[in-house]
Amino acid sequence: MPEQLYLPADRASRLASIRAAFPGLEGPDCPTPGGRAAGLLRLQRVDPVAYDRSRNFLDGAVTGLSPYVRHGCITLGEARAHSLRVVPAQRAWKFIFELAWRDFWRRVWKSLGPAVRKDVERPKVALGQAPLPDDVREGRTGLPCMDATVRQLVDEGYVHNHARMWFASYCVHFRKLSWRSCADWFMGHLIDGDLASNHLSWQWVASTFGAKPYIFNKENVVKYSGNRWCAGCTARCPFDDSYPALSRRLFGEEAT
Amino acid sequence: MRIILLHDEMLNPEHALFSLHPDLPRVFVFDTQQLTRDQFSLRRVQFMADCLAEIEGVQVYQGQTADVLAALGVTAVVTQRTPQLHVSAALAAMQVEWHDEPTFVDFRGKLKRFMHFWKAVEPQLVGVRDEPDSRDAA
Repeated sequence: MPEQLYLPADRASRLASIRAAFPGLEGPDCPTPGGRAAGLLRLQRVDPVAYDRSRNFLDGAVTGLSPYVRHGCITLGEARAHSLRVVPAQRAWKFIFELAWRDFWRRVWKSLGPAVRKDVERPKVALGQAPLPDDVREGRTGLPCMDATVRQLVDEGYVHNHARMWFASYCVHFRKLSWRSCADWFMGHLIDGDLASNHLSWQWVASTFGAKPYIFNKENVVKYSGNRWCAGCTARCPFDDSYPALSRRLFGEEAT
Repeated sequence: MRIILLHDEMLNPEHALFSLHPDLPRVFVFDTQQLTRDQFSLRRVQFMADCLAEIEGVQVYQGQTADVLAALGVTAVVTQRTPQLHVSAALAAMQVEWHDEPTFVDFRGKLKRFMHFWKAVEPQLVGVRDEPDSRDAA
């Protein structure tokens, strides 16, 4: 008979028992409590108006609901219903718009099946195929913004959506790495890791599931990160340019 | 033996299948092949363990799902439909009663870009309003 895993009611004991049962898995304990009760607590704190106003800022009023939605602890319908209870529909618009993105990704996954792991469309710019290198995997690129993103990913299993987009763009367009190699690794660390949302978002950045590549510049990072990295940064910044100049540098004339 | 097989998209103590089949044993398997293939972190497994700890009476195992179910003498399974192929592959030799996941919005058109989808479902979800077409790629 297979051995049954006993899950202690006390969380600290439970985390320790999982660590002991899966000796091949390493890293820090999960800082985010799982389960429906924790998900409902998060949901009760969601302020759709603050979310609309500030969600693109790293210190903005993001919801943290994604791990709970991913594991079915709460449903998209429950999240929408909460938002409509606390504000009129038009003020919940942005929040519900983002819930719809998740539903859309999932429908695409159901439609395409395992093909979501491959280019959905022809890339609109030349993409690289290099595997994920150690300096990126270990957060040793020398760029404080990117290395902090890797540290947060590895330590917490969560990264703000805007930082995910910057990181994906850095990997795919500035480093010319294989989006698939990066997306597989990135998803494994996320506690909200979802094949549809993760891989199709990487493809959206890469331009294999979107009309153009997503790129960003230093000005964007400064604005939405609260200048948390750039102020003291001494690295030679690859992002410090205008969008037309970056586009020419990264893609030649094809994307300008 | 017939069971409710929980997979990692239905970790909810109030899942509809529990009231539909209150007498069936509830089983979850940490599928070692999936954990390896998808490079799952310790944190992810711990998060799922938190979810499972809320579900009354669930039996939790680790191993390859098909092997665990075979060893338990499972011949029939009730579970939630999922695009995760490893779930359907593990159940290939079983009698399976699939149940659809909760529906967020009704959409029967052809999937194109998100904004095409959004324009079709927006009236159901929030009513109609004019808004710029963007994904906040600010």
